[in-house]
Amino acid sequence: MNKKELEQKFIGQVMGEQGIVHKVCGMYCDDEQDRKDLFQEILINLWKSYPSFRGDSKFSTWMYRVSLNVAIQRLRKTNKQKEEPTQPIDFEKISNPSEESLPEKELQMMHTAINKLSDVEKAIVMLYLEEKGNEEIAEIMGISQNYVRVKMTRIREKLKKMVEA
Amino acid sequence: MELEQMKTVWEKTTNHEVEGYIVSKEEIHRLIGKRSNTTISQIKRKIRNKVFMAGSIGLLLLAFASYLFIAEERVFEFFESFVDPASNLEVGTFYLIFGLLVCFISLFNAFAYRKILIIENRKSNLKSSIQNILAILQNAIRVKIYSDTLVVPGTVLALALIDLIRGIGIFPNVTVLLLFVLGAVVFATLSYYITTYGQNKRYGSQIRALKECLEELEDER
Repeated sequence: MNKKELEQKFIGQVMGEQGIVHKVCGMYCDDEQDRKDLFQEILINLWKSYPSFRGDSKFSTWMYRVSLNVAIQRLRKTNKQKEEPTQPIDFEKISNPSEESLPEKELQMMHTAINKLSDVEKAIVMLYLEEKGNEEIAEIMGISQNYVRVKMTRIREKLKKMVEA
Repeated sequence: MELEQMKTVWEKTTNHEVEGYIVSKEEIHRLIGKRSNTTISQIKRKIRNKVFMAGSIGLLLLAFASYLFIAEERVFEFFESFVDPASNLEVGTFYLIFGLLVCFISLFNAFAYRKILIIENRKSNLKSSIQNILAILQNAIRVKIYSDTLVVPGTVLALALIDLIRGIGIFPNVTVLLLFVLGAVVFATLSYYITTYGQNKRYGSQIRALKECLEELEDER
């Protein structure tokens, strides 16, 4: 397969799954510019790694793996959000939607909660929210299924503490 | 429960949010043609440039040294102002030593580059990717520190060797020679610490954060 054919195949596959990249960008970026930069960076890295993708895992699993890898690796330079004060989370508004609880506000509140998690926890939460099973999460993260369960429990506790605080 | 609430919000909002960001095939084609700016890509580019630059300069120096060795007439009178004009053999030796030193730096970087490619091509999940990135970063830092530290003492050593063989007067006596050697050692030590400091400042926080991530992934108790 020549480079042009390979590129066509790659673009075709990415078009079908590009939501994954956008979700990872949304998870790890605060502003639009950062999001655009990360999106570009993930696409470049996906394309560079594509020749080594042999179909051992699902294309989407491979995409999650590369995307999260780039996001975590790249974030090192710009990671300031952990030190920034965040708004307290009002989960009541999420569980009891009122007139003020518009999707955008809910989304904002969810991101506020996510921002309080570590990079690894963010990755696990995102995969969980994407309905990935423990087996697939373990495969993407490189940890055991048992440890995925442990991490999920810890994340639950952490989020619970955030609400109680 | 909180995570389940989050799931409800995620399902309700994320797909809708993502729709606003979907790009065309043409845009993907345009984007993948750009240059990556991840730390690893930047390090790879720097090492590659160093291999190319040092390699070219080293080969030029070696070619010139070879030319001096085979030339029948004296072609370069660099040391004329000293005790007596230097022969082609002496000047050639000077260039040969410098050429070999620069080529060594180029080869050192080439091996580091090859190592990075091997590490990069390993099939990896997130945990081993982080391990690989850390290995690459630490390897690149070591290469930078040692190749920077080698230059000055290497140059002084070359000059000292020439002076020892030829007695051209760069070091009029042993005291001056020792002072130069001492200076070179001090410079190399300073260079080592300055480069180490610079590299730590540049990549230190990234390495610490990646180690934290790795510890979190390895903390399987």
